[in-house]
Amino acid sequence: MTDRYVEIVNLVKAYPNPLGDAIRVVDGFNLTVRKGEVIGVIGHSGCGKSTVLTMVAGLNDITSGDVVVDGKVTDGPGPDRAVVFQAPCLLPWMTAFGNVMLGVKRVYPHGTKQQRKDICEYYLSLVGLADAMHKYPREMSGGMQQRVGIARAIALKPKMLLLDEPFGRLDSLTRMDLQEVILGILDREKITTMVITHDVDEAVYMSDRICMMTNGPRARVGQVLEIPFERPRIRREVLEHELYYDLRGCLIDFLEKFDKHKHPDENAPDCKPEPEPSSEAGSLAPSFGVYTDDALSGSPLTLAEIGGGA
Amino acid sequence: MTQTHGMTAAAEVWRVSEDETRLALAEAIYGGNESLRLASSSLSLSTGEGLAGAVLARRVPVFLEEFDDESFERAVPARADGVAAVLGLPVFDQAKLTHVVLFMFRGGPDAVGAVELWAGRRGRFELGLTEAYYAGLERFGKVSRHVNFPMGSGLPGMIWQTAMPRVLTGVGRSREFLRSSGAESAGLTNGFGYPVIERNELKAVMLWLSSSESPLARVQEVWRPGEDGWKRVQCASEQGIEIIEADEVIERCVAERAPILAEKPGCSGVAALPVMIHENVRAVGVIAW
Repeated sequence: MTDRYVEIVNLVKAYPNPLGDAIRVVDGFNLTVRKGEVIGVIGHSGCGKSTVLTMVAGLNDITSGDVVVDGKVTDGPGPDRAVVFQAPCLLPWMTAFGNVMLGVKRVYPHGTKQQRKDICEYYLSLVGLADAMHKYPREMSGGMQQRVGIARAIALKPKMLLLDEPFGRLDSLTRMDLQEVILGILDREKITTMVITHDVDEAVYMSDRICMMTNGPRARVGQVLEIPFERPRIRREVLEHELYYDLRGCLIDFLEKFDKHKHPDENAPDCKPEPEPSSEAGSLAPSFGVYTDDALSGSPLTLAEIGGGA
Repeated sequence: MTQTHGMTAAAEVWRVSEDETRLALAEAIYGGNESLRLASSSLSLSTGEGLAGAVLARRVPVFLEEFDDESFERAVPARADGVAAVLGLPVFDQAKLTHVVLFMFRGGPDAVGAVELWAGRRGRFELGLTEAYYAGLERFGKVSRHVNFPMGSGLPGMIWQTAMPRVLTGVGRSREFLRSSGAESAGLTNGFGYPVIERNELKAVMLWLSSSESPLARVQEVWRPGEDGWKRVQCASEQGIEIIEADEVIERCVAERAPILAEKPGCSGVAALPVMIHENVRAVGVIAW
């Protein structure tokens, strides 16, 4: 169960198209995540990263496929999956404390008032806002507001934390500061996390694995890169690691391959094989592991495992 | 064009006995290495014995780099020919392991090439690098160990999806080869992939990544059945050879449902590797060195 704490299976998002077939923005996204693992998701703008995240969060209807968290198929949003968006989206008439308390009340309905207060204070302290918890959003910088958003999400004690470009609006120093804050919390709380980012260095620094998405429409996982750096991470050690620039180069390489501006006259590699010229080509439908003569009837879990795992 | 020193030194096909306990040498190409030929001629192996026996016991592809007489029964003559690594490749006919193919690869400071084994990651729908032999590709190898491919993506993922061997030309520039920048700087040119399938289930994907300076394979081809017989549907070549006249090799491979080795003009050896699914030979991958 811990190896497959989160399973995203054949996730599809399609929108109706009055001129023809539905447009499949995301088509067959598969990913399994270990308990406590941090997964970075990277890809070009518009490739469908946020679509995947909002489907996992239950905020966006799934056309087909499943999201399974801790053995349960999700159905709509729930406090087991907390989201931090690029904009902190705080309620302006509430203090930082009040914004965090909103979710805490829902998740700890049977706790005492003092217990709920302690929880809010604890998580606001964790993000470095012990002295600012009674400030209103208008009195806080963008970085501080984002810290409130992070505290609000983590205070729910979610099974999965979903971060959608959480530092996208912040200057680079604040961004690095908040990366440390989040990594510190994740090291302590061991929350399974998916973080979407455009920033290659951020992805390498924060993730245990990085999922690289192909371009949309029909976006899916193109490649998954394991990041071998130990946790807790120290930025200087990561930057000086002998593999750092090779791993970074691997990500950039992938993104360049799918860069529509660099390859405007070509179709990006869509990760589909060319049709084989044989008359038999259509008769062998692949599944995840067992090859069948009938379309997609094999079990998705039967790819033979002979490797040593990750 | 001048033919340079290739990395493939020798190949053997071992036939597995009906009860899957013994191996007999069925075919071999030693490229003039007489001591290796002599050492092999009377050899018979049982389960767990030598490299071919290890493949029979484990039923998965096995690499040997640091080999001695115990792990590879012909270590001395192989080393004398510059062999630095040996791959043992199982060939299944449904559930039955029928043959083991051994490929012996030279190393040395000028060799550039890679043979990789990609297999399913525990608990994931991805192929990851399990074992590999890299010659002159230290950085490429280091990063590759951290890369995983889902079905349909990258050369391993495409082979997984189609269950077919596949040839990829110009891997250094190819947008289908997702590790291409590392491949380009390393001097890799062509790629060949072969699915290891047991009982209709993908067990592993083998990749041969070749350089023009020291090719692992100078010709790579994929053959498929068509309406009027078997056809070459993909090919790549190095050093002046364009194609191998392999029709009768393919015929034997399909008729015998077995890997076949042959000697052909212009190259040291040809190996034809069948892909069998649902009682049919669906494709044959051909490499010539």
